[in-house]
Amino acid sequence: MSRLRFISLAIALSLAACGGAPEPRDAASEEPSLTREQLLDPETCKGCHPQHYREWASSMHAYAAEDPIFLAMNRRGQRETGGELGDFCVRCHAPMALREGATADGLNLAELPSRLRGVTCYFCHNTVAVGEPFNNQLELANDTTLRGAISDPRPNGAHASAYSSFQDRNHSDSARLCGGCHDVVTPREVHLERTFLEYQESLFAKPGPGFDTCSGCHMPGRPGAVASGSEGGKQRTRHEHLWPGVDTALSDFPDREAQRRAVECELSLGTRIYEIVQDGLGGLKVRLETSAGHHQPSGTALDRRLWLELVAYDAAGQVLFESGTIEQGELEQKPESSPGFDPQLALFRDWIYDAQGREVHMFWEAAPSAAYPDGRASLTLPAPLTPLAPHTLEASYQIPSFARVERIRLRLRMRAVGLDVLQDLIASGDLSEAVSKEMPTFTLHGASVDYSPRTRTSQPLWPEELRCPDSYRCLLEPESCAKQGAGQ
Amino acid sequence: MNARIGGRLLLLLSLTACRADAGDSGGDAHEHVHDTGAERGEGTQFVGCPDTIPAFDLGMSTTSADGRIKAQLRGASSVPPVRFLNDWTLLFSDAQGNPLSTVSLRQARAFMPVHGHYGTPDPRLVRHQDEPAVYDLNALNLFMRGPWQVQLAVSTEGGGETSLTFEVCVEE
Repeated sequence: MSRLRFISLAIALSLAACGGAPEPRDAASEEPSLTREQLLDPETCKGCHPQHYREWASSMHAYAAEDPIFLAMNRRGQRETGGELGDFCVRCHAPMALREGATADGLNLAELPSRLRGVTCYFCHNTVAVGEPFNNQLELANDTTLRGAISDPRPNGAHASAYSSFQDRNHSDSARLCGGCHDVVTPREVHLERTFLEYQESLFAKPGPGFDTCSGCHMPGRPGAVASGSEGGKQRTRHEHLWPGVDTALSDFPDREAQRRAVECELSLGTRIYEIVQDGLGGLKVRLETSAGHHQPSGTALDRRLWLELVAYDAAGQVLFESGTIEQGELEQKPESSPGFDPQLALFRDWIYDAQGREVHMFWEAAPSAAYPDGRASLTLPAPLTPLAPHTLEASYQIPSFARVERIRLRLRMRAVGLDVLQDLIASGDLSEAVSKEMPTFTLHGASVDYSPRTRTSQPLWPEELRCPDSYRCLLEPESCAKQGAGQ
Repeated sequence: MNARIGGRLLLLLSLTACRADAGDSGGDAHEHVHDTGAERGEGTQFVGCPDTIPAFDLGMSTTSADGRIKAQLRGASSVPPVRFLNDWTLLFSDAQGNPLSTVSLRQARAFMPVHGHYGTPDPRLVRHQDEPAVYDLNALNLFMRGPWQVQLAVSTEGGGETSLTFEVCVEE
């Protein structure tokens, strides 16, 4: 069957199953009609879950197998390891393609149907068990039942539905599901991505009032129908399927602007300047804190670049000192020998090393060594361990002519992937230079202030036009925004 | 890692303020927990909003510890409050309910006790020109679900400073 015909049939079946009827149907009499093959395709889900689909379609889960940086790294990694990398990357970037036997190494993803690319609806909603929570050891039922958080799902004509704690954001099992891919150990036993481990060690994972899950933060819920045609039925909670973090689409992709604004909100709302301490002689300490249930940065922290920008002005507005003022397209950390080297740059990230202890960029080169037994070093903002305990990282500066400083502008800034990593991939011929130019630099507005050394007070720099969540939701749901009058 | 940078940046994990009993209470209070269903694993459940938090409604009020000042919620961008940014309008009055035209709202901030953090930045405070007892709190940052306190520091002419707290909860 041609792809077009298949999609048309799937949509027709979906719409038939939903009926598009505003009144609840006698659903109990309906038999699920969709096959497993049809359920594998997110386009099928779109028929009854159009808003979920739109959010997912603009998420990094949908982009996972399209991401040019992933494709470049996988291509280069396979080449440089002589194929030893195998399914390491594709296990999480296109898990259904691997499980369906359509790929072994991810080098042929462009040739595969879209239903097998990325992290699809079926992959998460068919998971019934998680082995060790790293490197995707999720177990799927491979049936036609889709799991969710609803304990009394309505029978419907599309698919069987069941409650599962793995899809219930109020249950710790759901964090294990996320951890399945958001925790990565390389074939050389370097614990490269530790997001789930960081979560497990944090206050968020401890039983009690502070407990919450990954999706508790990354999938906010609102009252609403979860499937078209079910309006007027039981009150349900519809969860956002956008998962903003820090990565964004770098090529043509649906709702890119919404995705970027969602990431800007996510980064800005939960990170702050905890304290600024000055000694009056030019010594300034800035203590930074994140409220996230994992470190900041997290995930591929070896690629992430989080830094503090500091600009000190005199009373006339002249710049007396600056650090971390990095222009768009400019390298974050320049070599010590280069003219723009910033000796006081406060940069937060992981560093990885090979078996000889030399710094490397590519994860397959990372290996334990005598100098770095974990194959890495890390300087990232830690997650909270207990309530009321500061968990800060401190950036220290020595500011010349401090007595003349009238105002200090501080902004925490971030890129998902450092320009040095991108340049390395461009140099090896694996990445287009155009992609590198698309890499956004985010400002974490919650950790951005104007500080007065004289009064020792700070003024926040939150832009009034950034209204979270409306700033991105109004792009994804213009109709509901117009109704509320909440649009920008 | 650049050794110079590494040397200058110091990880401060101060545990001195830890409460020994943190995390031990309130584990069974909320309706978020589903009570039926198959494939439920053992594990930990999100607690959500404790019953001790009053229902969120326009008109709800709180009184300062010394009983002198009352703050009433006159407007809110979302009822109940939502995750992320909320706008509130508060009317300040004396114990008898008379609007306090000399009130000064010095600071408002959102605090999440179970995680020990504030929602930064603090909301922008705008006094109504035609109603001096009324303030807008713009962009009140309740960025996580769960219980929050909205803490207010106010003073009146000749009355000194006092504090008020709204207990609220973000359900989702």
